[in-house]
Amino acid sequence: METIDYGIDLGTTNSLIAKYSKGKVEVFKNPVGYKETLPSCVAFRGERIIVGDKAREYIVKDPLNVFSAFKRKMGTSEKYLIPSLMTYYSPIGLSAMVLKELKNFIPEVQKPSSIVITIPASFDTVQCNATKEAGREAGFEEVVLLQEPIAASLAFFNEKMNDAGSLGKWLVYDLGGGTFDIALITIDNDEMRVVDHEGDNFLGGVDLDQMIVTQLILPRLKEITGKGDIDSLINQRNGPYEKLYYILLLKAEEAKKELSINDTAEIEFTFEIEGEAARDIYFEITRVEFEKLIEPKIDYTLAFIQKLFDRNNIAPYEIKNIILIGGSTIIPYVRKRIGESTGIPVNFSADPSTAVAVGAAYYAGAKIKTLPTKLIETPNETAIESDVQLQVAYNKTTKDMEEYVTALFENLPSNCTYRIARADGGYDSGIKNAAIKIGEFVMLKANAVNIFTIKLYDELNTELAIPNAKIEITQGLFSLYGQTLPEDICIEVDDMNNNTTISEVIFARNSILPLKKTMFKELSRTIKKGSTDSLIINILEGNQSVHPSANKVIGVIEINGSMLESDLVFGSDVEITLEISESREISVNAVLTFTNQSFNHIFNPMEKYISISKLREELRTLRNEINRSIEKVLEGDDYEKASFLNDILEVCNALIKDASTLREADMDERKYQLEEQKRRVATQYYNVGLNNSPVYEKKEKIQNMKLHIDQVMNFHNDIPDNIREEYKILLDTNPEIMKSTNHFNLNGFYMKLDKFYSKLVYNVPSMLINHFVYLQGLPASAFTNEKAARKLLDQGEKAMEKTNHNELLAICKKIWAELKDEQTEIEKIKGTGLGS
Amino acid sequence: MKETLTIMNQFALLELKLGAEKDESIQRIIQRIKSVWEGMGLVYQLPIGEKYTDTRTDVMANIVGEMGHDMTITQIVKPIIYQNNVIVQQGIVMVEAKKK
Repeated sequence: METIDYGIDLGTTNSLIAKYSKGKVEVFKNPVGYKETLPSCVAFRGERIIVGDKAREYIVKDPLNVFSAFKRKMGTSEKYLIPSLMTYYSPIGLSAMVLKELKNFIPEVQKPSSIVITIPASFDTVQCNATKEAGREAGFEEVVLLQEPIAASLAFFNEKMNDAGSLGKWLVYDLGGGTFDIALITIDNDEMRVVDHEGDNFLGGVDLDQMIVTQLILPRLKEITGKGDIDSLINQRNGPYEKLYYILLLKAEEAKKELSINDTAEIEFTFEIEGEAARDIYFEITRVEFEKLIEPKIDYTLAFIQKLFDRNNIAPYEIKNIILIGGSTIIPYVRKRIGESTGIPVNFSADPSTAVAVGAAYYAGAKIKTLPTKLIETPNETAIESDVQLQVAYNKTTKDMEEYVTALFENLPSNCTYRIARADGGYDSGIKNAAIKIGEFVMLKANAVNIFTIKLYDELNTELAIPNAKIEITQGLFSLYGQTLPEDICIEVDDMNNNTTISEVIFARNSILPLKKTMFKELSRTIKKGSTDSLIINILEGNQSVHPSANKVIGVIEINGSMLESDLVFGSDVEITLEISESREISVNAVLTFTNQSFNHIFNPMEKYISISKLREELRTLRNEINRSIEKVLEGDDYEKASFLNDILEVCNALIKDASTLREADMDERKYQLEEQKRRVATQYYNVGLNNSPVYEKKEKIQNMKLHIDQVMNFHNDIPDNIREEYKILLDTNPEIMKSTNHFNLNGFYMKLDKFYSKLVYNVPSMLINHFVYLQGLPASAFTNEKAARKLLDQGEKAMEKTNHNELLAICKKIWAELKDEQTEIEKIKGTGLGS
Repeated sequence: MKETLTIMNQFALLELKLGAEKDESIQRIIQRIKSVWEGMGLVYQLPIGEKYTDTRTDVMANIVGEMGHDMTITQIVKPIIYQNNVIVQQGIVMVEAKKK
């Protein structure tokens, strides 16, 4: 039998939707803005319907067309006139819009037909039926209601308590953004019941913010500015201080949050009124002032508790706990005051903002559906099939910040709505009635590819599948006559860990000219003033995944010691700005932030710039690599490849000899010829099929590490579930990593795997033991100090016998410090001086 | 993440305040810090002076004065923050009709 699983907190001020699955509850986030809460607010802007945050923006300015708090009118005959449409909406219709919008929070593949919706404890039968009707209007075929205090209690009991401790009487104190409720709950024989309740629909966090503005901020502001009329004019619509009022409300909300953590909060803003110079205002308000301010309001809520006690003949000692929910109960004073005044333990362990939705989902997780499921199970399908056809017309590229999109629907069913949204969350057309032809100005993000999707909904708000619904508009970067880069443009940087240099991409192939980018690099070694050592900024054209020596040099700036005003210290920053014009002229500006020196160079694409010292080093590095590869292929008895490599080695040695005779002052073309020959040899070497490019080697390392981790994960059964889960997340969040040709991404992923492996050794006793046995098996030559290592290995043996995991770990750490660096035997490269 | 966003918010406001500051070294430090965040996929945007309509969901607006067709963002309380090209924080802005 299937359970409902989905729960909605349909609140007066905010609403949320959550799902129960396998013992856990997930609160869904709004795909626009990524907040869990949706303001229960609907705005009618022309023919557009907007629900949530955007609608709330117009509450003050367009009150006739914006509706909120309609939950209070559920079950009444009240109708709201929508002037822009000249039609009426009932509270049910408006609530249905909020519910429909919440439905959009759920990933498309799920779409439930049954739902649990929470209602206040005070709702009568008519109000309950009205809520059910709203649910049905929103497209839910089965609606089950649950009282809010019960939902909050369920969240608390399911996440925090065992059954044995829950029997008895409880209070649920709910002080939210705009409303206050208190409910008396009893739990007896597995049954949870609201016995009585009280509340005030006009008390919440918003009122506290306003009190901060009027009673704490304005008196100080009057003092500082000498403006005696501020308090009378501050909240006057279109008045001189209107803008300031909104800013102060935001500042008050921030200060309120700050005072929940610290003893003081800073109020800082710019005081601007027309005709006067702006001035910066700064002062502090203290927690003591704030607590004194809200004390009467909190005492007012306490009076409701007393009423409940009196009416039900209950003494405080009979109450097991007061469960606090609602955002305003985060304030420490509220918690303290309620606990001290009532003498009842307060419990604020449930998340005050989401508790009702979470409780509704728990309830839904145990509630059996009476309707057959209509879930769309196919993950590739995001909407139900339809005959609707769509043709869209728009400019794919533009320099404007908005673009007009027109669309033609064929076979459009009646009463459909549509919506256009940008993938990054920055644009939403709102819900609009669909006609055969629609048109919309869509706002664009500057210098980016803007991806939009047109979604079509039937009258039950179920999405209908339509073809060609995706729109891509490129803003700014592209002009119709723009040229693309034929190859990657890279900068050569040091990879000291691997004793090599690598090509870091600056502009990827097919980027549109002109291009400009500023990057910051740290110096990988100190360059002394007056020395012959130099910092080399080497700009390359070619393929980012191959070794720099196989790419073409298109510009070099060599800054040597004699050009420095002081030593250039290891770790200091170099700011490099690279610009490529449409005619492919390259300009490089390097600023040494430590010495505050700037070096500019414009490279004409017709000229070549060669650094002789760089050329010599590259040839030496190439020779070393070829030698290493020859050894490797001979180990595999591949004599054919070894012979080919020997031929390349001979050419390389000849080039090294030639390069040693080059002088900077030489006027002939030899250095250009040698550079070209070096590049050819390097390309031959990297294309020989050894698969030893830096990228390939990194991929090989990742594969080996992953294989090793997979093996140990299968072999060791004492690995905790959370660590296994962490590994799964690590792999799931990097599904395409092996397709990457970006050295930095691969290196980053390898580091993550390496870190995860260390975590395994640190946390899994059997793995630590295995690792120690491995260390025991190493030859004496693997350690820098053989005697010290031997002593540590003996101590480790004893710790292992005592099964003292912590001691063994501490000893292993000391042994690691004694291990020889594998690369100490290899000739260290000098590199460019730029860190990667 | 919350702490990073808080730092970015404060830093963006600092950049706004230093808007008229011509000192190159200060601008360089600002760009340096922004490039570190960029490396983490985090970018903030200050939409000051940009056009505002109710379809802009990258900001939450407080509308000051009379509404009009030509609404502009005149003040920023919090910047828009993107992580890997997706909005993780909507901006908070003041919006006013263009003065004629």
